[in-house]
Amino acid sequence: MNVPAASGDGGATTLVAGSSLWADAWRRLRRNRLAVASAVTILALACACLAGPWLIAATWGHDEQSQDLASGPRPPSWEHPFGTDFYGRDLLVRVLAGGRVSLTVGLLAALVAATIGTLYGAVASYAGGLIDAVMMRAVDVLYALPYMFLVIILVTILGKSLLLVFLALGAVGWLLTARVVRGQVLSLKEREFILAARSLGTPAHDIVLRHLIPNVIGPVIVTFTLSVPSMILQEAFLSFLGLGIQAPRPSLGALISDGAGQMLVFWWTLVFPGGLMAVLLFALNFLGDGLRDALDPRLER
Amino acid sequence: MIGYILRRLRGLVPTTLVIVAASFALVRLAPGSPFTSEKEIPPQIRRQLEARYGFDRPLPEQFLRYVGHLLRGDLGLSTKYPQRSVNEIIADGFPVTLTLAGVALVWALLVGITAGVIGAIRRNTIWDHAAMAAALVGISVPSFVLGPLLVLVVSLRWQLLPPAGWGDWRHVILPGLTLGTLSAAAIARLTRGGMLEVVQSDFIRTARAKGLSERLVVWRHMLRGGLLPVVSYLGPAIAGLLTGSVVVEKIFNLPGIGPYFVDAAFNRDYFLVMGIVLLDALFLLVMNLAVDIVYGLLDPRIRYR
Amino acid sequence: MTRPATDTVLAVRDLRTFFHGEGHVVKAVDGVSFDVRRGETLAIVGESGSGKSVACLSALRLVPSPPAFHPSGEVLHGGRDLLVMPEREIERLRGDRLAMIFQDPLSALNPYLTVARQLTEVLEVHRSASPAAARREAISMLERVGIADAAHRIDHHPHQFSGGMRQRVMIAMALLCRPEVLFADEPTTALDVTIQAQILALVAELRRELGMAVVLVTHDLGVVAGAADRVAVMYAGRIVEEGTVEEIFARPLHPYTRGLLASTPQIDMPDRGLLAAIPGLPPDPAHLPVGCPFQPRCDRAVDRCRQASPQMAVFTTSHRVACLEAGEAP
Repeated sequence: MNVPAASGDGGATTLVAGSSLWADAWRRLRRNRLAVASAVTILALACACLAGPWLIAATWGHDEQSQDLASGPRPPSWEHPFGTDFYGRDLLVRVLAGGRVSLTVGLLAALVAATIGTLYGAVASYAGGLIDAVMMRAVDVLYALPYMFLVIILVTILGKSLLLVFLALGAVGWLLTARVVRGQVLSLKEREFILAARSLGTPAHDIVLRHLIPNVIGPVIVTFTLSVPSMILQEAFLSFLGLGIQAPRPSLGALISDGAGQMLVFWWTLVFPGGLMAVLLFALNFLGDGLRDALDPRLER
Repeated sequence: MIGYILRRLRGLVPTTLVIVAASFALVRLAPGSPFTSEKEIPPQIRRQLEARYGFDRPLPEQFLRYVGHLLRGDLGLSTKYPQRSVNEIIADGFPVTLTLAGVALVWALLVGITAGVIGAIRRNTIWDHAAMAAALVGISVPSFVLGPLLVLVVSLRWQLLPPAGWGDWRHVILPGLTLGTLSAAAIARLTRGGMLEVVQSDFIRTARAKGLSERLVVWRHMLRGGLLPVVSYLGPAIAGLLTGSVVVEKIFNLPGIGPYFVDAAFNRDYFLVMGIVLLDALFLLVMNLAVDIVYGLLDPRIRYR
Repeated sequence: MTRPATDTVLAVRDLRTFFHGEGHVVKAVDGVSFDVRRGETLAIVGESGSGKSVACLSALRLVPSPPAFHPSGEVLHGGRDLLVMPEREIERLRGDRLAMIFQDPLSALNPYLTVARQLTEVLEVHRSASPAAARREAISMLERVGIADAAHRIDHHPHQFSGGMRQRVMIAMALLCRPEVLFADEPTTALDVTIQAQILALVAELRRELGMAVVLVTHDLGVVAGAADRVAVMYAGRIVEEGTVEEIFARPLHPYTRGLLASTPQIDMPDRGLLAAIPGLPPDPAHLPVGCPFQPRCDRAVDRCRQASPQMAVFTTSHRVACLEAGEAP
């Protein structure tokens, strides 16, 4: 987390104001023990999902696709801590690999959405007038549409690859960021310190770089953090419907879908992927909440 | 006010046209056709089929004919279910989906507002922490995990409610809970946030200075302003419920519109896909208009332009 | 503590309100005592942060706790202590016997409710008035405070009124039940200068007409001179000087009061000299200096001022001051 340094290259006064804002936020975030625990959990899970499948393959020789039809589904044991699935595949490996897919898609889709949304919102608010009105009206209309339907159409049309799934999710998930950014920029444009900078003859690009962006980046980070879990959820949603990552590659949604079908007999096939999903979303949401509280002191006390 | 509503309704016309054109383009420009799947169809029969649905004409002409049919309320024929028109399929499925979404919304509002108000009024107490932790769990447990778990416990262990299917009121409870929990959690958090903003405002101090009882302060002076964020969330919430119903209908095997949509998208069932998108979009546009009107009624400072 | 005189409608004794800070305690109000007598105007004067508003809010138990500790001390009204009575009973007094108006009428009025709703509920709660009777009463009170076309305007929302009109609505709302004491917390600070005088005149007029006492909280000594009978000067959560308006203006005893007077422009200023500012800033209420809280800024401070906090000393029957050096004032 080197956020404080990022805003430190402004002029003397903004430097003080900017860095103390970030330092304050960082201090508040560190004091929020649940948010810190969430961040640690996320890091640990990310490491496990990245390195776990490879480590397990190296030590036990299980990989995500090797089947053992003869053995069939078996409950958790020392050899298979999460049990095995219907095809005798080790569930721990599959759950971790699924988590990796979820995290990747979630992060990339949220990144796509944040980029599009920030640009769109900034352009709309900076252009103002009719352009702004038309652009935001379009957002309103899109906001009202059942955009998962659009994603479903996109995915069925374009095919079910990892890349396309996160592009499709990101392409329709930027609306909230656009709104947040526009609202922030609009309120900033009228604030005293911007007016002061303008009246001092500060060039426009300086105002944007030193005043607007540092003040917009907080809400964008918060929106981004909170959109990662919702992107993960939506990817799982697609996989659950059979529209996500193609079998036999595992994804959490597909694993949960399989598990839900056999939960009566093979409870572990639902509990483990569902559990990882819930823990992941819980930690991400908590971290996002913590970030928002840290960056928005107004809501404190 | 009435002028405003009329203007908004008039504004729906171009929006709808854009949606029709966009969904038509999206669906028709995609690779594949309704008749490429499954078994090979002899070219002769294939041509007959295409002629029957008008797919042999140039696209612009097809579009105009489609719009013409729409104006007469005809959504076209399904290619997957040749005996049924899109109107029939929607007339069967949409009421189920709407009932499900309605139950989910009522549950979400009841639970969410109650939890949020308690959290705000008893701020930083055990009640607040419990309500907000529950809300976070609600946001973090996806419907496709919650649904099967509810079936497992409530239907199969306790045998209280049917695990699937559609019939009387008992069939709608578990799907409704499953679908509404996410919104309930979001509403709880929004309510708490909105209420906390209001709690600190000067006019609440004025209300207390007037000697109003705490109950009157909360009900008359806090709730209205505190619930405004919830009202503006209702549009996206209803959209989310319609989307979520696709999965919930699959879990509980309900005869709603959702499973048709996924199938239709897969099978390039052009008219069915477009019919469902159009209907949902129109429904949501109208709901959003209603939400805006309610918002304006609640906040007198809003001007209708 | 002195016993309240018979014409005292409200007696505040040793009132303390502390706030929880981050690892420290902010003593916003630290042992304040004053009497409010029937029909008089008592001005409480001080810089922002001196605790004058919090003192009034605490007397009516309107300071939210947390973050504040419960106020301690006594606030006596009709022989009863407001600070210890049950919530139901103080609710019955607020808005009825003891009313309050605030600095910014725009944020102090509920933006979502009509003026009618906000006025009539006072009468419905305290007088069990019928809706129709409450509405009639509210309209006549609005007319009394100078709102034209009140029968029509009453159905408007606060944002449809101008600033001065909004404060008139606030005043009407506070006076509906003819209170014995009206707390006016900087009632003109948020208004234009021309409107300020009108509002103050209106309050004075209604005070005479209804025979109520007014506690006027302000930072503006100019307001005090014309409107108050007695003045209490607050500094760092305490009253440092109290007296009649003549005493305070003619013979200020506390160096802080003298500083305040010297920094207030007056039309009849004898030597047309420059306005003098008090050097330094008010102390951080979380870290008060040892001894007299004013001592770091005081040009007359001597060693004993830095050791013990001075107690209120009676100078004349009506004039009291908390300063060790006050006796030797020039």
